Amino acid sequence: MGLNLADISTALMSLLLEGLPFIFLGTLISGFIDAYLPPWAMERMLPKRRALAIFASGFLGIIFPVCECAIVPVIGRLIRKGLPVSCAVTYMLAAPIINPITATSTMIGFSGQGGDLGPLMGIQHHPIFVTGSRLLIAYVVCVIIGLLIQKVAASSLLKKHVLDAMKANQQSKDAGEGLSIFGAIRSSLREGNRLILAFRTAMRDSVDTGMYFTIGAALTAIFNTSALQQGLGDFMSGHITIAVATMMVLAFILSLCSTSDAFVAATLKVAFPSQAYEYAAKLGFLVFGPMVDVKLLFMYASIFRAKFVWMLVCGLFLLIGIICSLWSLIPVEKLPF
Amino acid sequence: MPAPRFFHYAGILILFAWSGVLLYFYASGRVNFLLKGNFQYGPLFGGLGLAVMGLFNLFTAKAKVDCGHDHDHDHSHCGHDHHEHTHECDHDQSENDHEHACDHPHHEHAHDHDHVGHSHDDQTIPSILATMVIVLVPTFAAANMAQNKFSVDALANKGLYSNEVNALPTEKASSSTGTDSDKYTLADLEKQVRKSDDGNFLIPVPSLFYSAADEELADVLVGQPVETTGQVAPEIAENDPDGTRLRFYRLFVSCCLADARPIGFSAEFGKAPPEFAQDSWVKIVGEMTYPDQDGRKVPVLKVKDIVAIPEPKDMMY
Repeated sequence: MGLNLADISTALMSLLLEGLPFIFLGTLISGFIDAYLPPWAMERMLPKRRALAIFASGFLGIIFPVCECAIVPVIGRLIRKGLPVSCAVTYMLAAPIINPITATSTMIGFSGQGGDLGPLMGIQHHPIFVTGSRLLIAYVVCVIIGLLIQKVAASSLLKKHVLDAMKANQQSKDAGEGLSIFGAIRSSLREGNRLILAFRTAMRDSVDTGMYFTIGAALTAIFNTSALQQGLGDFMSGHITIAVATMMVLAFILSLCSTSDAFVAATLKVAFPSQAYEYAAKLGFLVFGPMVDVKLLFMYASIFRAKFVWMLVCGLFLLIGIICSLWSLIPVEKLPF
Repeated sequence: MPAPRFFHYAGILILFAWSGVLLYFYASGRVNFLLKGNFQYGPLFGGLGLAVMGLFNLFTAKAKVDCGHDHDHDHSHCGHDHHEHTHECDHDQSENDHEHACDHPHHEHAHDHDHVGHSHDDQTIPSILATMVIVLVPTFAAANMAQNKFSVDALANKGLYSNEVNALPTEKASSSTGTDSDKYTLADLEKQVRKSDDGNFLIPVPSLFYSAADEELADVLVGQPVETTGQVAPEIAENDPDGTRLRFYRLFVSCCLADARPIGFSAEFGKAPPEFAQDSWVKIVGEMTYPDQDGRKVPVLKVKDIVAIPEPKDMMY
């Protein structure tokens, strides 16, 4: 059961068909941000105190819901426009989970499926518990990461071209004194050639992000069709931390879209010893997957230094693994919801 | 051709290539095999959007563009402030040398002007060509070689032959509290599930599969006539010691075929199974049984009748 080129191509094509439209959307937003959003706008929109700004950034996905494929170019552009890196990373990691679409799909996914046949699925879930836990754990993790990153110099995190653009924009922030954000945007809108700039930036970001996405999607396709997935279930009946870690590895390999990954997690039936155990492992899947997967690894590399990307991945793996393992101590069976 | 200009046209080419592939898969209907439900509209809107973006950039390729930022910043390396010379970039993208009020090429600027005519992160023609190869070769290769389905090997790798159903032996889909009065009964099943004209319970494959996880439900289902539709594949020897079975399954898909998981079980014929082409769609009428395998209940459908049916419109579950 080795690698089959036709199967890999089939998986890759389906990933491209699914992901490219979202990348187009993300880069279009990024182009318009570049052309119309003044460099000082992001700092004004967030609280002045950095820690508060990080806490607020964790909720930005509620206002600007963007999935994980689309958010990478948007974040790259916002950093260039002066959004502090700590806030940007918090938003980038949180937005695919903490948004109305993902929350709703998690509720539905864990409410049982199959319409009137739902009860026949053999699954008894606690949708409010799972959804609430997913959002809460994701928020806590993203804020912790943001607060940690706050202490690190941007030069250690960002690729040189992003850092240079950010520095250049920082120096022009004073120009915004006395102007409102909407006033500045309105004045930009009157300049016709900004539209050309928006589309040029969008195209450039499409190519950049699309290249990393293609590499990531190709690797995902290989993982997805190979025998690597087999046997993962054997690990899940072991110690809780191993079960959580295994589910996170599975999420990394499958590279699902956060808007619909709950449907996969809900129906993933393996021999978990208890329901609390099952939820803890599935939460690892649901929280880690939208933050880190094969294709995202490469997409992050378009903005961040490779060393930071690896540290971020390891940090998220440990942090989510620990929190989700502890989550298994919650007596789910006694909860009223 | 200067690198910035080459980069611009290479970008347009990539946008058109992606757009063409997305629109081809949508227009040919192949998107139905690779994406689920609402995701099928993505290639249409994405393809059209990318085409518009490409055309816009093509038609405005020679336009002079304001940088989009104020240039109020101090170019410390220039030794002057750009405020002092009210420059609008006015780069003609066809020009490699940026005619600028300050007499230095923009490549020396530290900042990243993300539009044609500026540095483009020191893009060189070989690096742009490499980008094109990385993007276009896998895209076209995948478009050319992609099938509308996975091979049995890939499905096997995705768990086609796994009988791992029972996660929680004590959990009850029927929400029993343990008292006899709350026990799941045939009457409950009849209330919840529609029947065919022939009186068979119409139950989808995944529901039958997961029924093995619910002891009460399984007890009720045993002996009841069920009717269901799905696809067939050869059964492996481990699940079919007598050579009397086919694997009967449906693909559970979240958004695209890459995340497909086959959910299925053995269909028992009691004799050599009829021949069907791999992945054929069939309708089966039969009865559920739940024999023990390695100390765990596994679902097996005893077939009374099997007929080939046309591929349904919604192939993914």
